[in-house]
Amino acid sequence: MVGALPAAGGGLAVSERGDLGIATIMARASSTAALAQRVAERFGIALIDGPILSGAGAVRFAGTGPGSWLSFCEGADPFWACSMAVQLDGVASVFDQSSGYAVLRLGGAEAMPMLQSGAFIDLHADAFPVGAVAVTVIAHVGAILIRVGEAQFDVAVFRSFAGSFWHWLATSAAARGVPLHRFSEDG
Amino acid sequence: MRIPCPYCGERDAHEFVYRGDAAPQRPDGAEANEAAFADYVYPRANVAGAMHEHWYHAQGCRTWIVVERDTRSHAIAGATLAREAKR
Ligand SMILES: [Zn+2]
Repeated sequence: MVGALPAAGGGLAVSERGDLGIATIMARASSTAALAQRVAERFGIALIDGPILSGAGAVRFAGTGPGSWLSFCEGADPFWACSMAVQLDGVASVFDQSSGYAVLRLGGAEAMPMLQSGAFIDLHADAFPVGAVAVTVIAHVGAILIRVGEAQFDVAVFRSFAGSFWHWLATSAAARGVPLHRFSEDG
Repeated sequence: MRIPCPYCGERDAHEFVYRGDAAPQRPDGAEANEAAFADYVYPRANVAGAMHEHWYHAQGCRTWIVVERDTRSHAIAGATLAREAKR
């Protein structure tokens, strides 16, 4: 489990969030308000149409574009995206991305400086606070960044690019002299 | 060059795809003749100064935006989502 991620000291701790259900949520034409109302009813979440993480429980919505979100569910069963489509029927289109994206959690004092060395956006806490979301590129690889804690970030990349992203991460960490601790969720 | 995406905030130009002048309006396909379509597709004004342009935020929110840019200085006066831009 991600909660068991050990403290990384001065280094960078990386683990894969393998237990996630992931789905793209796109509001139907002129249905963003109706979708927000449905999400409030079904999940008790105030859905924000902006580059921000909505929700604090097992299900969360990360804003990725106007009227679109990447939603995550911790410990999801294989049919979670289908049930999401049923929950949001008529107001949003839902696409299962559970095997489409790989999500890495980066933690430790070096997580922010490391990501800052690859992303062309300001990751200072004033500009990119906890809950902020950015769809951008790192090393030419499309990446969705979510600040989940002061020194904790989730990075979602298309699964087929995960190896390339890992290569950038490991190489950049080595170049910066940053000890990299890799954790498996299996222990 | 940094482009102020209305959704994402300021981003490096390399995240975007440039399309060009946002002014031409597609003629009604059922009504328009060939000359009207040729006019829509080909001739461009080559503006020296402020103009409205379409940019696609391909490596961001994957949305078309309309950017007001001065072609002489690259100064950007603002940007709106294309879906919300006045037509
Ligand atoms: Zn954008």
